[in-house]
Amino acid sequence: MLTMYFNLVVNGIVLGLVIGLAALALTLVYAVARFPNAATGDMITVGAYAGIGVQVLGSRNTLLQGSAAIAACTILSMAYYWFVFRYLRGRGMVALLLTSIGLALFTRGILSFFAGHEQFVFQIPLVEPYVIYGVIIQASDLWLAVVALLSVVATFAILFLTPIGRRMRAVADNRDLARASGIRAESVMIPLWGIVGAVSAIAGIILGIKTVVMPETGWLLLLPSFTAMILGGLGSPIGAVLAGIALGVAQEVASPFVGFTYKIAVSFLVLLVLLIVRPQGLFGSLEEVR
Amino acid sequence: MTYLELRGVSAAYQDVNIVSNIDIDVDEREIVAVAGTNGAGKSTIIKTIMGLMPRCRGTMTFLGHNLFDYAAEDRVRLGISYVPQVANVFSSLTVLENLKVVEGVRDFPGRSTEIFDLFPVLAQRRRARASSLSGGERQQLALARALMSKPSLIVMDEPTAALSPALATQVFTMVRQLPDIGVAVLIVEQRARQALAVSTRGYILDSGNIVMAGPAADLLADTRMADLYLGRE
Amino acid sequence: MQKAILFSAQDVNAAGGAAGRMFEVISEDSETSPAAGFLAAKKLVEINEVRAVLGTWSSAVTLAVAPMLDSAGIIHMTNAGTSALAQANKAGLIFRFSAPSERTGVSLAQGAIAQGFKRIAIMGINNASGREVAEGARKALEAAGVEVVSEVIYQPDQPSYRSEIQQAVVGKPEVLILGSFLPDMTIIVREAIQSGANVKFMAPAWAVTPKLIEAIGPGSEGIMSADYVSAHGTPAYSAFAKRFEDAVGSDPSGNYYASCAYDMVQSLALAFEAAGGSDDNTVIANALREVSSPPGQTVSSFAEGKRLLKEGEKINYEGASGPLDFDDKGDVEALFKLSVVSNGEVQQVRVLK
Ligand SMILES: Nc1ncnc2c1ncn2[C@@H]1O[C@H](COP(=O)(O)OP(=O)(O)OP(=O)(O)O)[C@@H](O)[C@H]1O
Ligand SMILES: [Mg+2]
Repeated sequence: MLTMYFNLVVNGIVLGLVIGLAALALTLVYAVARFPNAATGDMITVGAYAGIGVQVLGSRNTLLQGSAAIAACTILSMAYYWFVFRYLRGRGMVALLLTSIGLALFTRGILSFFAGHEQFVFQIPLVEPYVIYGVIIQASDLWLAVVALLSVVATFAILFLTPIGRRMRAVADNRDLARASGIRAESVMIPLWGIVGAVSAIAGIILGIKTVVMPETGWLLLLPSFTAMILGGLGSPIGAVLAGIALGVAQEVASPFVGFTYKIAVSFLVLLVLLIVRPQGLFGSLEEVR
Repeated sequence: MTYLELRGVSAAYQDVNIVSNIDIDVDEREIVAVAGTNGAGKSTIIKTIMGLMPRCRGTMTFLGHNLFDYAAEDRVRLGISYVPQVANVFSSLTVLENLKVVEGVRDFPGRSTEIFDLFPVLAQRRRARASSLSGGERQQLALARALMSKPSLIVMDEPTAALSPALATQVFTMVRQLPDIGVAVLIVEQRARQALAVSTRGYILDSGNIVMAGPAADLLADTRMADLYLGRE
Repeated sequence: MQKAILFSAQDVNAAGGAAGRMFEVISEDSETSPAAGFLAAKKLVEINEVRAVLGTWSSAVTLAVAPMLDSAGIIHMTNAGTSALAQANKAGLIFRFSAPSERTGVSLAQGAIAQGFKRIAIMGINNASGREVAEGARKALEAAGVEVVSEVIYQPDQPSYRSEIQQAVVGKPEVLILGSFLPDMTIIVREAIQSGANVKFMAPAWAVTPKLIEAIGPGSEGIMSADYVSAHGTPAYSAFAKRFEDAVGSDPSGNYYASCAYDMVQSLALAFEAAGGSDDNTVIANALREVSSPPGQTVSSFAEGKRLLKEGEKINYEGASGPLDFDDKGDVEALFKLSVVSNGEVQQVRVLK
């Protein structure tokens, strides 16, 4: 009985890491550019398809697939900023949100035009799991978890240990004061969107390996990751990742009680209660209370 | 020598002029106060000078440069620093990071040592997040951050607004010392009397218009002024 | 399908037509979009003034056109699987040549029993089709006295189904019946293998496709599926198969829907003949039930049936797709087969009874 819950927790953590990565990508944009970027989901899909593209060209090397995904998403993400979002600064959240929805649909349209609606699958060998005292651990999950954690650590290293990360946090914290301190928007925004692209790519590869790759793959991840972003305290990267994991675990552990059809509702219930009890989210946020 | 010169400056949100036709001068090593009540347009003037108001016109020069040629990000290089009214520091960054964030500081270790000498309280708390500082410490950090780039002018937006009278006095004392280290100050304040007391020149702002201007001492002595704008002592 | 309708109509006309009238076939493309399908059907009814619409297939398109056809009094012959069709069948003019999804569940259960499985678990996706398959399987298993060790209904579009699988296999079933579609089935089977669940899988043929086999690789060996099957070995099927090969140039054995299409025309023509060319579609529909179900002499084509009808005999058309005995809801007992993935291909094991 207890092992069942352990297994559920393990499932939840792996699921939560994927949600957490997507939420991280959402949060970074939200913190600095102040809008929920609905194109994040489809950026994740692009990452998955880039990996599939490498596979179709003949390589089953996951590292190569991941690198291609990161390259594709980083460039595309920066292009989104440079050609679209840059021109919408100061237009208000709704305009940016709607634009990002448009970009999301556009990206998905292009993807399904070229790749079709049929599913693609990463051809990885299916191996039997480790069973430790009844707790089932899949080797591939371990790897994916390690990769997810590494990319989170790398992102935080950039944010908290480099000058560029400091500039990003400064802009997120207080845009006017950052400008008056001589920080140029572009010098922050281009690397930021690049990082967002890379994080999305990794989420896409992980999601693709765990599931199947279809044009809707990433879009469907948007809602839970959006919840995680809010739960983590809008704009807090650490909060987003932790909330993603918490959400994954809560959802899985609750399912024996509420049934699988309602497990999604659990995350929204958590969100609702939290918004009432702690409107600022579980963790403070990058820009703090003004 | 004239540092900052505003002539016929107007600024607007949407289409409504918040300040109209403003003339202001700040000379070398001078403290200039702009006094005005709530909503008079004080912050708007400051933001206009910093390049943070999207809609403004008139002429604004600093050390002979046309400020309209410089984006907000570039004005710090000209030698203007900003102390905002609210959110005057990067509260999620540490004290040290608040100083590091300023662009164009050549010798950071040296400059930060100088600054920490001026503000010993901050030196002790260099690793603390700015959000954990008290109101007075925050105001010190805001000033410290503004001084990092060795500016020739600091524009301050109601630095004493959220402070107790004792702390406000402390801030004015600090402001008074700035010309000694070569920094001119433009300060906007509701605490008109105290601001004018440390200033050489003063302007009275009412509903977006300069209604009086002159040497600070004269304004303080003017009885109409006292009745209308300065309040009873 | 369209070719089968055409050559079936040619056969009818070659036999002198039904009740002295020739069949005319007008084709429209639904583009499997409900909107396009509706406009096409409306055009057929209003401009071409057709008496019957044959060969709708996608559930969404069928549900979109059914109420309009029903109120216009048009006979509607379809292969849609949705059970919601029953609600649109007010005038009794809808005839379904395949079975609702629930029947697929029943045949999966029958397949599992036939293969000798004793402990069976069911998982179904939470949509109309998945719930119906799961329900059909459960009812059939319960009726046969076989234990259902667990039943899990899961949400579509989840990134992982590990907890659901864990729940389904906790009672150690030998086989897992999946009311799934391709993407979720891919994820479930992969995760089940990766979590070490020692269980076999069964699912509707729409999920057990070459794509699934490709995605799962060697682990897909032994996955079973249930699918419609034409009435192989019957005279009607032989006649249909020969005509199909002539027209299309390939063997129709994997093309169940073509055999349905063939039967649609043949049975409609018989009904028209039996009803003496009546202008009333309700009369035709009643005649359709009579000429296709017992009692009556078994016939395998329009030509044969027409002769017997002329002699005043009662007939029972047994088609290429199955015996075609329509019940009050216009549904038939479709034939199913059990297949298994072997050497990377879906191979038929047996026809289910
Ligand atoms: N973003 C804005 N959009 C529209 N109007 C604004 C905006 N910000 C300020 N205002 C208006 O501009 C006027 C002047 O504002 P400003 O902030 O310059 O006043 P202030 O003198 O600094 O007041 P306070 O003493 O409260 O700081 C006010 O009437 C205010 O309502
Ligand atoms: Mg103000």
